[in-house]
Amino acid sequence: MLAFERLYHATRPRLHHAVVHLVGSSEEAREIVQKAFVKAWERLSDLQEDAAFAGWIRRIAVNLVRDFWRSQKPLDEIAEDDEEGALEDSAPDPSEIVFERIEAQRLRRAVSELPLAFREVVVLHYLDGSPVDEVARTLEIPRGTVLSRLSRARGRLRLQLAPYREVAR
Amino acid sequence: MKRYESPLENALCQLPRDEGVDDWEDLKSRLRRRRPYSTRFRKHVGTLKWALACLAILMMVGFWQAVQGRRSVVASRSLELRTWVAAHDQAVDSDPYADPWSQSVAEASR
Repeated sequence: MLAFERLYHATRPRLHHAVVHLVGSSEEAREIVQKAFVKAWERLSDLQEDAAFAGWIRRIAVNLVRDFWRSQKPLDEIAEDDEEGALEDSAPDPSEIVFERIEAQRLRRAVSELPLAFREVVVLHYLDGSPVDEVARTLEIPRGTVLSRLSRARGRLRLQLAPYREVAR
Repeated sequence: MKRYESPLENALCQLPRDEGVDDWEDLKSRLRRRRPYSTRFRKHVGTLKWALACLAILMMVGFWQAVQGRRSVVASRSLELRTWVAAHDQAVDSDPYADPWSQSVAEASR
């Protein structure tokens, strides 16, 4: 129990930060994080090595987030060409937009409006700071799909934020 | 923190962190409410499965050996019987009185 408590204190803040952006509510995020730890406790014997705990609990939490959205509404559809989709962003030239000037709140909202499949990769890669390979392992999808979704998500974000853009001087 | 060339990616990385609040006491009480036996049982499910698989294999081997043993007993008995019948027929052919049964019949009829 003591070791588990230590793991909880070490991994919970980062996990909460990722989950809160996936569900959009701090209260729901707290509940999902607690449930993830309860599940982890019950399946602790399945864990092969202690060092893998952070990735393992992140995977449990992502599955709980998916269950949460499934219970709320059908999961967002992803465009058919997602898997083979072009890796190029289908959006205006990034240099046109100065994102530093966009309020964090607006960016957060834009992220929360992404389809779940895109939000997952954005949150895990940019907000959580996980490398692409780790995101692929967490979501159990190929690396190429992660890169493709990231690219398409960036394109969508640029389109969503375009009305607020400021032309760089 | 990793720096990207794209301002959008940097802005995403710099979003303010929301780490929630530490609630170990709540988690501890949730863990205590879980049934301890199911947790304990889950830990031993793998061992139990292996034990059952081994038992099943042992039973199959035992059954197979029993069937084989029975077959060999029947085979050896029938071989013994066939040998005895052949020897008896041969003896009767060469000397009808060699058969103790026919000999006793012959003596009685005298």
